[in-house]
Amino acid sequence: MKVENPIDQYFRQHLSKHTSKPDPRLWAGIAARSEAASPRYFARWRLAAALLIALAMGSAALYFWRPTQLTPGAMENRDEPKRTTETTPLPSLTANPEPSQKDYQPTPKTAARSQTAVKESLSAPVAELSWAEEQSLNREHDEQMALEASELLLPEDKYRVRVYIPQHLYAQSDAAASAGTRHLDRNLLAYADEQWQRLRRGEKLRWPQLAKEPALVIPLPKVINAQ
Amino acid sequence: MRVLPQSDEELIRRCLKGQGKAQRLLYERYAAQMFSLCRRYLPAKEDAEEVLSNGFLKVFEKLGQYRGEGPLGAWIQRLMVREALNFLRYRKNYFAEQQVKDLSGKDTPKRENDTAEAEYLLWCIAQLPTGYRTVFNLYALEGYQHKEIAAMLNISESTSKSQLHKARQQLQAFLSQGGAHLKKVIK
Repeated sequence: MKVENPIDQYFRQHLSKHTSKPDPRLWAGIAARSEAASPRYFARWRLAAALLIALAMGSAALYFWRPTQLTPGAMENRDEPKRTTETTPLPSLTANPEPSQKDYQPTPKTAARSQTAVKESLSAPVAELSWAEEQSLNREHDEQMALEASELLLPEDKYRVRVYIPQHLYAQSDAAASAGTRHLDRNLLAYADEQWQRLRRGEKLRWPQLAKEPALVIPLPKVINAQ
Repeated sequence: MRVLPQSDEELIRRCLKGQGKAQRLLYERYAAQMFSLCRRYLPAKEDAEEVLSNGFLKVFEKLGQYRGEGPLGAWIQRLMVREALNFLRYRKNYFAEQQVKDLSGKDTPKRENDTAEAEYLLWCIAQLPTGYRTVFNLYALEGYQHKEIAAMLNISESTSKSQLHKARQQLQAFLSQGGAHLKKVIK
């Protein structure tokens, strides 16, 4: 039989039921740590992380989707020739040919250089540049004019008018049509002009009441373009 | 508002659901008892509070493992003891101090009633070196055997017995200085 030590017994007797209250604020720390360690807390973070990832993926998808939608338009805009009638004035043409004193104010970068050197360096390239730009401007102007002219020219496969003419004029008209419009009858030209004006106004063409046949097919655009 | 007392089973069930109020009730029910236990192993109040906090977090974490074999208080007590030993192990001063402190200090608590007597006994235990104190607590107060203590502290059984013997000697010396009525009890 185990004999219990009296010291052990005495201590157990007094300390087994002994209690001492901890700091009342201790629970706040335990509760906070317990909350942070709970599965519910992790679930909340998981949800937040999932939302964040979804948001990021959505943003990424939007980012990659938008350019594909915009690219064709952007490419069209890039390929489309400029049709603006206003020509942007080039700085060399509109600039004051005699620069003011303000223009020669030395910048920190050019402060070390002398004033004359600045003048030389400014004047020489300006003259060369203006000539080059003038050439470029002329070229652009010519191209634009050609473009406008091409827009004015009508396609010859459209707007053909069938005109009935007397038989004695047939050979002459046929020859004139094959050779061009130079020898066409003036009345015919006036008629063609009138028909063209009607076309431009959106009205229906009016057929001439000359004869039944033979008919001469007049390419109206050719006639108009020749004028 | 007064909170109605609930059984341990009900508290456990609610704690397992993650209810903060139930956890608080459980804490309030056992905190004082466990804090006293912690103070037996760790005389410094801050250390005891830290062990108490960590111990209760373990309790909430492992409450699902409680099978209902024995009272819940005993289960929590075992967890607290383990937590206190872990704390001592990490501090690596397990058997560092071997010198018994001088008891002629003026801060010796008075022994007027049972509570004061318990406080005095706690104070006596606190004066022991950590090794003595731990072995004495485990053997005399928790009821572990030397074999179990040796396994828990990673020491030999003979060391455990030796530490216990020295602890008793020191405590007897403390108590003999404390009062004449105690000598009667011991004899």
